Amino acid sequence: MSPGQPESTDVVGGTAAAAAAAQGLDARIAVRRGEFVLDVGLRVERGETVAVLGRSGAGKSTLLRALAGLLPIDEGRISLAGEVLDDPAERVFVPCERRPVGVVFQDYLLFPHLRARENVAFGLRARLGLRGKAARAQADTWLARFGVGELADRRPGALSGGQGQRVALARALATQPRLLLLDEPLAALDTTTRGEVRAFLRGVLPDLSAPVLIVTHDPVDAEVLADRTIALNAGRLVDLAGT
Amino acid sequence: MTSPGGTSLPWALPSRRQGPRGAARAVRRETRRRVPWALWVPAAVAVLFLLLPLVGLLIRTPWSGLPRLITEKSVRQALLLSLRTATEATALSLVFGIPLAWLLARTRFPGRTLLRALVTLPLVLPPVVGGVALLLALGRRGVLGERLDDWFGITLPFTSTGVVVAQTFVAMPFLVVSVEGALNSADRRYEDAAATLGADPWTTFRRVTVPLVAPAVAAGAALCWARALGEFGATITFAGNFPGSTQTMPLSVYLALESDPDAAIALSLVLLAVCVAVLVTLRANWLPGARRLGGARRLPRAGATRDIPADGDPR
Repeated sequence: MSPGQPESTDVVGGTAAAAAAAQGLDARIAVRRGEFVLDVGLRVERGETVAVLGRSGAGKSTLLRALAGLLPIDEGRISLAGEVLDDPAERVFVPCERRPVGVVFQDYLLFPHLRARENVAFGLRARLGLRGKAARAQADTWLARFGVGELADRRPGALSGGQGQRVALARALATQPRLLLLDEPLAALDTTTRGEVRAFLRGVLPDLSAPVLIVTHDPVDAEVLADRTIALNAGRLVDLAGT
Repeated sequence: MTSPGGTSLPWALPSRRQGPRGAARAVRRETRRRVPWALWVPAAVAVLFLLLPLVGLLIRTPWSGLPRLITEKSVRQALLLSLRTATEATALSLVFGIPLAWLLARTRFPGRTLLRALVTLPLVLPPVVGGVALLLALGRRGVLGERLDDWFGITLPFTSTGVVVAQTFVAMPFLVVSVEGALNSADRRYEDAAATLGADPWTTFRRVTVPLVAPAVAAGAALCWARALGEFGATITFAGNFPGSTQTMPLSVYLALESDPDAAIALSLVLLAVCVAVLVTLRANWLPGARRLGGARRLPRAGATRDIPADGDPR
């Protein structure tokens, strides 16, 4: 039960650029929602962390939802590690639950009725097909890796913002995603915790083999956490001179 | 019946606290300062009106003869039948009602509003009418009942199963309405989160959606059970009044009132005690959990980022 790559090993293009992108994310995304149009192309290599900077309403969450598979795109194509996830022209759409994409949501969305351990084990069961004890043991390992092993028995309501962030990251990474999406990872935190979590993320993110996409409105977070920053304005990417 | 933003039902559990505790307390103190007499007088009348009959029941209870009256075989029979059928009706309502509530709350299809109105009709329909309708549909000569009888030899009217059918018909809408309201106001992004973790829609429903509305399911089930326990009109119309098989507590109370008023009072007292016991158990077992869930569901904001929250995990 490994993260599936069902229909497509044959879709990788012949060019060298496509071969390079085959390890990471290669997406051109067009989504229309009434008046609003999101139209972006982006590429994130394996091991690279890219920040998408934009004000609210710029289309950041639409982009994130499209990549996660929570929203089908209208035009374009999303491919990840050589696998096409969404291509309306080819009638390909891999639903969210079968995409090897991990998401850390802005306010974490840890299931309030489950303890931290069970929150992490949830994805291990659903995505990797682990069972009972094995899932729980591996969940504990992930929590320990992020320094929150002793909080495994707490429910999310009894975790601080920084602790919740770590549990949420453990939960997302435990499913062994090939792309990690972080939605405003620091917005829900107060200033003290912010610095601590920022340092923690800066230590963790470079070690991931998967490409990482951070969506944020804060240029400082983008600067500190990402290798590269792209800016999104009114649904389109804008040039950031000098970044 | 439900407003889009949340539950408008008087029995709906509060799904989240209004704000920090201090603020809530301040507001409460202020309202206590000056309650207009135009409000508290009618409220007091309402309380008297609601409590007086119960007091009357307690005053007139033949306490000395009580042990004999409530240990009679016919009473035990009726009580056990009532408890069994009400529990079965609640189980059926849970099995079929929760998916129906989910369908009404989570999907969009033409005629959904009409369907919701129709399935909640038994809430306002006189139960006797419900009983007549059940006879016409499931009776021995009924639209479906005739087939059931011919093809499978299944007869529903005037059987214990008929009692369960009548009670389910009348009580299930309570559960559906309660759960649907909770589903409408639940944060659907948890379901998105479950999907990103690889959970298919069925797993998400079982392990995220239903647990998140568990307090509403419990409240709905309690109402459903209480309604089924007290069901009279549809039961007597569809299932009849046979001691041992279809004579439930409410029916035997009504009959006893004509022959033996003391027995009727005693039976009523037993029903009252059962209902109070269930309410107390629910409060003790469910509502604290409901409150904790509701509290935890709030977004972690700047002010909430302390290491040991005041209302931390009670463990």
